Amino acid sequence: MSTDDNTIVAVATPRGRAALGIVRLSGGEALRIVSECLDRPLKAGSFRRVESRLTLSRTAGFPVVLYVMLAGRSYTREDVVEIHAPGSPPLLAAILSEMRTRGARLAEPGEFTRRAFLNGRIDLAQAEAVMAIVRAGSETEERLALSALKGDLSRRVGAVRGELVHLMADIEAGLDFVEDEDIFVPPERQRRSIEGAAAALAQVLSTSAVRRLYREEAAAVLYGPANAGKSSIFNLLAGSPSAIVEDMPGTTRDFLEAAVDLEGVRFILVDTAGIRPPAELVEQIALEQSERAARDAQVVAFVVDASRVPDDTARRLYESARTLPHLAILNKCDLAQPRDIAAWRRFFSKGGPAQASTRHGVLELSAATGRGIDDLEAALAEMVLGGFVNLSGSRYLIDARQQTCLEHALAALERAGRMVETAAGDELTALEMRDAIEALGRVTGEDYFSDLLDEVFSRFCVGK
Amino acid sequence: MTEQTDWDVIVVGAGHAGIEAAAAASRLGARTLVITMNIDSTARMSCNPAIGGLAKGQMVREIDALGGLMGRIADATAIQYRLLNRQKGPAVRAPRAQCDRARYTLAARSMLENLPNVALCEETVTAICARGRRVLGIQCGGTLYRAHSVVLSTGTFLRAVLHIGEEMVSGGRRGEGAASAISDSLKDLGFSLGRLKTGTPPRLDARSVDFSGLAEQSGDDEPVFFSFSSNSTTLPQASCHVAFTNDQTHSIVRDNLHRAPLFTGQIKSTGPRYCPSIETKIVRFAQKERHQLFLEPEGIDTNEVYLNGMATSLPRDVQEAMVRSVAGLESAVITRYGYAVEYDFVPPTQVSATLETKRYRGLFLAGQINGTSGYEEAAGQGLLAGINAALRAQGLECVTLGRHEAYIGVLVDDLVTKGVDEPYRMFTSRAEYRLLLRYDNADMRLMPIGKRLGLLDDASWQRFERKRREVEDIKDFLAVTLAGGTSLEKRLSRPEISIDDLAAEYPALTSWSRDARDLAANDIKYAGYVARQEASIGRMKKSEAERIPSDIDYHALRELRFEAREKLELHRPDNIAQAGRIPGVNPADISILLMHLRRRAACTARPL
Repeated sequence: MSTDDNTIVAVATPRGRAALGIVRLSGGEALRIVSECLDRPLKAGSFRRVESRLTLSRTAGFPVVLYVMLAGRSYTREDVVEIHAPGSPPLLAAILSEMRTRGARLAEPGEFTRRAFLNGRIDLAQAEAVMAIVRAGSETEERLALSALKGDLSRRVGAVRGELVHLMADIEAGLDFVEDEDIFVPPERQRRSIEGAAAALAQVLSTSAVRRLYREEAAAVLYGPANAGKSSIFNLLAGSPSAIVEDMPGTTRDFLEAAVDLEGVRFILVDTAGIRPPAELVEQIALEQSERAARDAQVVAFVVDASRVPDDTARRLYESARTLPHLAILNKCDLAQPRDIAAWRRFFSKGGPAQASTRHGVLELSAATGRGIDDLEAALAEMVLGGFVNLSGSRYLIDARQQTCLEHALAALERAGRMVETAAGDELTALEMRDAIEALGRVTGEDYFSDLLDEVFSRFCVGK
Repeated sequence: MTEQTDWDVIVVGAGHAGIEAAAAASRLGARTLVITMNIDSTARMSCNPAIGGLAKGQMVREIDALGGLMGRIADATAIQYRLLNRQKGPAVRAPRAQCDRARYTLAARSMLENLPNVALCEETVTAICARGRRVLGIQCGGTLYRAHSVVLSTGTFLRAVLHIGEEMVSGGRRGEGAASAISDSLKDLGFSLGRLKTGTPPRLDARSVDFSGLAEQSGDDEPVFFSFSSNSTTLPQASCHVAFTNDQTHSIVRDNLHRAPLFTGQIKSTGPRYCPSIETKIVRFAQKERHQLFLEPEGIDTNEVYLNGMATSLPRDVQEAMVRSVAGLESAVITRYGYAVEYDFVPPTQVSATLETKRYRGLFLAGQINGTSGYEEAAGQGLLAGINAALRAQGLECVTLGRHEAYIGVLVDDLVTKGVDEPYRMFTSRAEYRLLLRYDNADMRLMPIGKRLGLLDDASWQRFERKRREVEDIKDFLAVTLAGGTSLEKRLSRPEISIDDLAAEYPALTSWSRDARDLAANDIKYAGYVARQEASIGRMKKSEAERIPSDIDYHALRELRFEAREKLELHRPDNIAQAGRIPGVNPADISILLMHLRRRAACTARPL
């Protein structure tokens, strides 16, 4: 719920900026949470910029710059702390995880902006755009529900939840229908069910990839030789009617980047052509870009000019892209001869993009005529929804909200287990179990009470 | 048409809901008219002769804490008390009592007749009158009774049909008629109506029952009363007895299913799953070898016993065979046959949390007309509707009860945000803040509210203040008294230590009343959990304060998903908290709705 007053956290660095990473927190606990990792706690004084050392539970301290913006002055009108740290993705992920352990929860799509709006910080004209973003988030969710990986998650979480509802029906019937039947669940059985469910959830969490770790989008990098038409494609995608461009204040851009909604998936589209360094450095910088993409982009769209023959530059650049989840795009097909296209297809057939997606491996396109752009949009979305992206070893695809729910449920189950162990009373076990079942229901979209009643009334003959 | 004097409040129906509505309105100084089809049927117990039970007992105490009648009537006529779940945690204990059915009605009628500002009139209402979006009053034949507020608490009487086997007669209760004109009038006013079913078991002549083989269930030695003002029983106490159905009973039922209205299609509406008929139990739980039956005495000077557990609408001859197949009941004589009743209700998503209809200002619905079942559920709604009807008549703001404040709050919120698809009964598991909504603290939770509204007499308030001081003193004592370096408070928070254990060691504790002692102890036992729930209550209150204007057009909110638009339009919630509880409305929808409300507020605030 957006009306809650949890403290939220997200990595707020724009994609592709290697030197600096920003983790942003907003909410009443922001100062407290960050202070716990500092030598000296932040005081709600007048300062705004603090140089300090951040110590995480599993790393030595490292220097950071903190920007503290108190409620009323900040973007969200809540207490905001920005942690500016070296831009290494693993380090940013570690900071994120530390902040979450200490009580922050991952921000939902557009949540900083949403809070800014709800707290009266941004003006009415922006409201429409914010609503569209939130809506896009929820549509993506619905779409994802149809995708295979999400379907598996729902089934698995649904099964765990089902077992808990079964046990809960025993416990609640034992509390509410004492006059009708003698229902008693031995603590040993309660303990086994709860521990089984907790283990299953822990396993789901450990084998899940969190969708859109950074600001909740998938990053798609347009990459390839100069003059292949990357910028034209960027403009087509970013300017398509479904595209939404969200401005995040406090971020700087060194090259072109746009947030777009393609087939219900939010992408941060990065045009590497946006950088115009001295000519002799192009290749080196492009390669660096590719390395960065290797670390954190979810999809690489490798763009070539189909009207020219494959050359060494293309070959060298492609070397760094071929091991990544990628699509190959033959641009300028309107100008290309059939034999050129055939040559490129041969070029890409050697261990090429078919690995990532056999269906959409090589796309023919013309940015000039717009031909094939729909296919590209669909292919990019499919890379994410179909699970071809950054998911090696993962069985489930979850988003930040789902992760929060699953972790919440797991913690509640651990407490429930302790209630059983200490014989604290069925009403207290039930309190924790309900917490867990409701959190899981937020993942599977099921209603707690009607399910519980169905279970009780189908199994127990209650009522005098 | 003749016109009657103007009333502040008119209450239609003098059942458990109606009398509470009248009493609350009376307390608030509203000139109130109660119209009933039969004054002798005031607060009749149509079903079992008992009050309270799990979640219901808590509600009776809540009603009492808000100045209602039910607790006092039950205590005045109780013939057996039991505190249920005595062995389990205090949050799931609840008082229950068998009452003398005839005396219950008489006591209720006497209280009703003696309420200041209240008049009674035996009439049949033929229409609800409204002009525009306001209620005008009600009409009985050629007479119009004008009122600022009207409370409809008509129970099971709307287009009611009774079923015993193939026999179908019009009536809301055995031997009484139906009120069909009100259904038509409500439809004319634009309300949609649904249909529900409920049933009762046969009653027996105790002289024909062989009690020797039946297990006796007696009451508690130390009764827990419903009313905070009660301190002794007035009637002699009686026992219940337990019997069981058997194979033969089940065969009789199975062989006669072709004559059971529930299975032949004669009854089409939904009955309660928690209170199934014996025929439903036997079909749905075919593997169960026996079902428990309770023989509950109907009163102290009658021989009738109520055969709880055998609700049925099978034909008379089948009921006889079925009853006589039970050990102990071989020669039982049935005094009244069981029957089912089907009746109209107004799906409760059409009322708001004040129980005022969304369609007409001043028109309130309470009790079974809202799709609930049970005397206590009805009474709780009657009380709230009566308060608000009076406030409305006085031009004051209506009030609601929160889910964290009372079971009555949970009840009303569930009704208005989720609607019903079977008669709604309260369970403790419906309350997410169950640890807070206890029978022992109903006075602490609600008497301050009752006092503020003007529902309490001075004696009740003084008693409350005394107890509140006692509880504070006990808590202080427990906090400052150390035993081996730890406070008694800390020791008490361990599950295995009870206040009685401490009282044995520290006799000083016994100088305070048992009620206050138990309450202090239970508060301490649950303190940690309650503190954790406070945050969630805080969030809920915040979103409850986020009101949704009643003229909002959900269909115009294109940013909302289609399903959310439909659901919101159907329920038309009063606030954001309610909207969030509507099934099918997700958190993203709520964000969008909130943003829309902010935008709208900003637009309206802008100078022209």
